[in-house]
Amino acid sequence: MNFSQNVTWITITSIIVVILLILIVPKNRIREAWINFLFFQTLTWGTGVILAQYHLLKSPFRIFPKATTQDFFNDFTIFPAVSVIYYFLYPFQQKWYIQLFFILGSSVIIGIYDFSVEKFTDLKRYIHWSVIHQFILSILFNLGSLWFTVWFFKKSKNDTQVRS
Amino acid sequence: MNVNTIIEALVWIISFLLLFLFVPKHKIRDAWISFLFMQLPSWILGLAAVQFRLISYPSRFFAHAVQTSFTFEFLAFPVISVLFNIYYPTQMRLVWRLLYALAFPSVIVTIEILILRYTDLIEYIHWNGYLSWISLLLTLFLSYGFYKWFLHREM
Repeated sequence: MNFSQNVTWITITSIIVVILLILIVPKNRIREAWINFLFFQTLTWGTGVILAQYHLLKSPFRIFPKATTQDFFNDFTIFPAVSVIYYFLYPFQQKWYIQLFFILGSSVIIGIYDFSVEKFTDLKRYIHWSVIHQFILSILFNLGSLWFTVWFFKKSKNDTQVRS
Repeated sequence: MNVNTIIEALVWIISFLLLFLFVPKHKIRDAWISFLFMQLPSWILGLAAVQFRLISYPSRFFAHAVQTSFTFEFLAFPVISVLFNIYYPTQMRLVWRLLYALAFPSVIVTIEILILRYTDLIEYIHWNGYLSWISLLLTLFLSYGFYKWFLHREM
């Protein structure tokens, strides 16, 4: 795998995600997007450090190679952005099995993306890791971020009112 | 356990204590905004500082995963930013606000220099205390600006 292929992957993925964000996030709900994005970053940063520390994953091609062994690009920009998209598309009003289908379906898509990253680029190598782990983690993180964002903007009498 | 590990562990304990003691229950969302936001500049600048050999952290947690100070960037500095934003004296006169703002980086740099001198947790390569002071001040204001923007549509 050479340099230009990795860079092409990064460029194309970024463009697609930015376009999706612009299309999906309503302008007047940008605060919800921020909270979701930042919270997801905290989750991936914390767990990513542990995963890299115990050699579960590695990232041969990465930004800041002397400072971190984590996959900066996917963990800190793409997956948090995808979590924002997830939050805005989530079928809150629908029946439980439609919600379940959404949760499983989106994590399958994320899993396929992650697997392709592993296969076609040097951004990520699974060591003691598999696409199943990734699938479970992405369900937990996306739902975690979703719940956090919902809690954050829940109207409450005593708490600071944060207008969305 | 050596002294470095003990001090780094103490930073974790003190940071959580500060949160529990100084964040009132009704300000918990304010605290979250500041905490989550501050991680972003703290982490990116921290990475850059190590990448460009400005600072190194010879003894650190998660030494294999990161060459930066996870403890400071992930926890300690965001916690400081939380306190800075929650207690910022908006109603006071300019001179008090200025003193308040300048006191924060001054205290942090003082502690940093003590840690630099007596432990292996941090080592300046192409760096000095003044640069620390300025970058702390700027990032604290950046986080405060975000916090203000978040709470009020118009600043």
